[in-house]
Amino acid sequence: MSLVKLFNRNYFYQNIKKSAPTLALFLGIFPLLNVVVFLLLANANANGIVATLDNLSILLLVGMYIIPVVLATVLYSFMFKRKSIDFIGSMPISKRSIYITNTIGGSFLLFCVLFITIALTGIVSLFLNNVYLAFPLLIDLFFIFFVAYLFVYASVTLAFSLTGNMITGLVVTLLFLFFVPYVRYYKDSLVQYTGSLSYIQCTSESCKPVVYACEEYSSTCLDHKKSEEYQFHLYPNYGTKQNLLPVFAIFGIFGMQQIEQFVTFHFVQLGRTLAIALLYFFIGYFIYKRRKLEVCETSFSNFYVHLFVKALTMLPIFTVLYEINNNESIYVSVFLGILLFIYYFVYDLITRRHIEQIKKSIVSFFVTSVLLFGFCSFIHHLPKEDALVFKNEEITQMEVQIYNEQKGQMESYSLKDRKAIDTLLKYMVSDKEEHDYSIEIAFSVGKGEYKTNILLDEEEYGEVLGILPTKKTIEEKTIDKAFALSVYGDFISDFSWYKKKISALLKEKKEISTTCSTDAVLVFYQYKNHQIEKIEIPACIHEEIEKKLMEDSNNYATKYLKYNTYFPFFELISNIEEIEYEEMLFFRDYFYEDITDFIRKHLKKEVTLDDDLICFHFGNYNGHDLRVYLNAKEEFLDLIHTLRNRAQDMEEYQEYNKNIRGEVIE
Amino acid sequence: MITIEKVCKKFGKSEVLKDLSCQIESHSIYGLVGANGAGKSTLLRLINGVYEMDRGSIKIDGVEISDREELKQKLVFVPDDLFFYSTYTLLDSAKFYEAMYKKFDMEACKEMASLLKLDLHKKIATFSKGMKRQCALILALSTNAEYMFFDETFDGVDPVVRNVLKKLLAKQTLEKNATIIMTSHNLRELEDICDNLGLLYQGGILFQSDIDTLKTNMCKVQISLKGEFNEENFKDFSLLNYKKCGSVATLILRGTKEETEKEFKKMKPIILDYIPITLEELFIYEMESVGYVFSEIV
Repeated sequence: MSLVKLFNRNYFYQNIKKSAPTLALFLGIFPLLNVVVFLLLANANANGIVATLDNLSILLLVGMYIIPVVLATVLYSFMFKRKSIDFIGSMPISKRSIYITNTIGGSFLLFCVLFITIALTGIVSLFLNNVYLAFPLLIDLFFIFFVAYLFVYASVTLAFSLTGNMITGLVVTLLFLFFVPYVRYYKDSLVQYTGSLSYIQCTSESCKPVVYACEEYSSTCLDHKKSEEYQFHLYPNYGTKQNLLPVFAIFGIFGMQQIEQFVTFHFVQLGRTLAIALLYFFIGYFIYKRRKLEVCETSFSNFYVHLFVKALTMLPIFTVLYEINNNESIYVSVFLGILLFIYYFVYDLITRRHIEQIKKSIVSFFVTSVLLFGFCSFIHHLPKEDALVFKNEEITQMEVQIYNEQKGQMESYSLKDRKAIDTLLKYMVSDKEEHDYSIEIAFSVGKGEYKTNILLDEEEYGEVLGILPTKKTIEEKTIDKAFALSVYGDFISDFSWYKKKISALLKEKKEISTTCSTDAVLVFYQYKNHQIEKIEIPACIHEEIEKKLMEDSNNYATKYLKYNTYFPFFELISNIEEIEYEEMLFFRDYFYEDITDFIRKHLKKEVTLDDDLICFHFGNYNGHDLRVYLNAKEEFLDLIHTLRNRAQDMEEYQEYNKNIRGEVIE
Repeated sequence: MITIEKVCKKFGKSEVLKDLSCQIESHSIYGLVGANGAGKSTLLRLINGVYEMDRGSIKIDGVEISDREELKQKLVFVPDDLFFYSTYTLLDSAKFYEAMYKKFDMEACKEMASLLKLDLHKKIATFSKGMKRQCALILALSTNAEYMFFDETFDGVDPVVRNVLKKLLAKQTLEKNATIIMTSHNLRELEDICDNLGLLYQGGILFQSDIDTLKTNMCKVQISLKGEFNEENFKDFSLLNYKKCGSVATLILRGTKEETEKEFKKMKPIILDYIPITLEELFIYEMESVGYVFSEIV
């Protein structure tokens, strides 16, 4: 019999109609709530945001554990009460038809919930001028969560098919979802982790072991460093792309891993999640078809299955008890043991409404405890995975992400230079308690790809900046899919001109040298290979681009300065030999109006690159940045000369000269 | 026709139905009587496919019961413990039944609701117990199912409405050829409506018969003879019970009025009255005749 024939539209409609408020919550309130969360996120960033898979999925992740469970509860609630079993069980609809109807109908509802939620977010983003969203990302987001929601729904459906009351059904659902990650977490947590940032994280599918951290805090790591041999031990990571999103995202929700590590569009992950969901539906179908409706208001018809499930629920408490017991806190162990004993019987009262066969239960409690003890002991004595050991020369290429403080932006480099790689590896295993900078490196060893953070002090940071290649080139990279452009962290709404220009340049030259020295970098965002990709291109690669950027910036500043008179952040960006940074800060503090008047006077729409330029940077409390470019260097030096004369009698200026310049003005 | 053969059903260790066999004729009203826990509700749930039997066979019109929709379209079941969706009005429930049953008659449902003065637009959850029972009955009758099963049919319904409902049930059988199977632990509830009765005891049908045959085959007679007399004087009759109070004896005996009256008249009685016999009495004496104490059964 075909699925279409088994789908009973009338039954589904009536089943849903009875729960209209729940439906309204899912199809109305939830999408609106998601929009509100999105708006809050957008408003928190004055400079605008680029929507990513993880920042769009905050509420969707929470909903993943609630919506499918509530939906299944609504559709299958009749199975857990004798009255409703009589009612539905006697209706002219077969159990097979009920299951297929609820599976197809429930999946369709989940589809609708996600479609409405994501579409509404997309539509709202069109009206927000500070949100940049690639629409293919929404499609990916939809697929990621539709598969994840289906998985949770399939888990609840299977759990409900197996159990005789709702509470046991929910307990079994939790076991389906979280038992495996919990055991894995327990197993992984047995390997000591120092808590240091010196760990290497796997970023590919083929790493084995997955992630490593330096086990000893300092001495051994230092030895490794000296011998240029690095040895790391396992650090649990649940965010690799192989893991099922609904199962392991709980680590993200509890802040143990970053959400962005879970919410990825990855075919292996999606395929596996979908395959397991379908398997659950399939198994659920056969169980439900054979299910005896008279088994209700109790956990399971079979007492031993009840005992088995109860034992599984005891595992988390038991692992804690085992660890405490290992640490010789006998009183806490006894207390937890008593709690566990009470739980053993309370569980029966909740799921079966009576304590069944007390003598048998007491015996089973002790048997279960021994078995769980054995399980914990077994996990404890599992052989540790081999450590990852590699020597410097094994790493031939390294990707570096570093924050360039001078330019105020993140920069990425690809290193092949042996000396540079060795220098970075030297700092990789850090025993620093304090650090000023953190840079990220990524490299390959064997089949595995890894990334880690390197902690640096001021001196080391300078050294690292020195070894980074000065000549950067941008190889042929089309930016046709670019949907956003930011400069200095500010998004440019009309970026088509820049996109067109750079695209033409890239196509024409294939490779663009970025050796020009500029502080303006165009950051193009595009959604490629199911992730946000940034392409950074210095504005100075082409005069026309640089000029337009400056003029656009001046135009914007002109408008802004009309209505705003005070800027708490204000600095001279250009390097002018005749004036020191600290002196400029002094003038900014004491001659604020003179300088801003000067800027207003010389601020023009058009800029000439042939003449000397000076650049000022303004910022307000909202993090809004303005940059103005003036062809008035000589005039500015005249102003500085004037200000120096006026400041000569000021005690503060004399103090400044004394402290900073070591001069005493007579 | 419903044919039940050697049906067994266990709940845990307790065997609720033990090798139960019986036949229920079509187009009649069948009353199933038994004490609480006798297995009446379980039997109805088994026939309706709510529960699954452990052993045995139940056939409806020669077809083994199964979890098939086509078969279930022929059946409607009103359990003893009623269930309605909490937010539903009678009209909503009627629409639910209409969506599920192909032959549901919405007009008939509205007519019956009007007859019983039930507000179609009021939430059923706000109705009294008796009104809920009325709702369940009219919804079931409106399905026009061939076989209708009512568990504790008139529970909570006042005598006036009970009579109306009985008429509706009788009408359903007469006009629409429905077969109605109703249970009760109270014989009096069923005696004026059922065509057949089955007595369920300890998981099995202890006794079943059609009421007309029962009533015609058993007489209750008050008689007084000249002079002293006792039970011995009636030894030629198939006497089921004998009680004498003063000079008048009350006899329960097998046989039709026509057959027995001639014999009594030969004894030249001072008083000879045929008194209507209640269904309860019929059962009491039938049971006692086979060695059971009726009060222990029902």
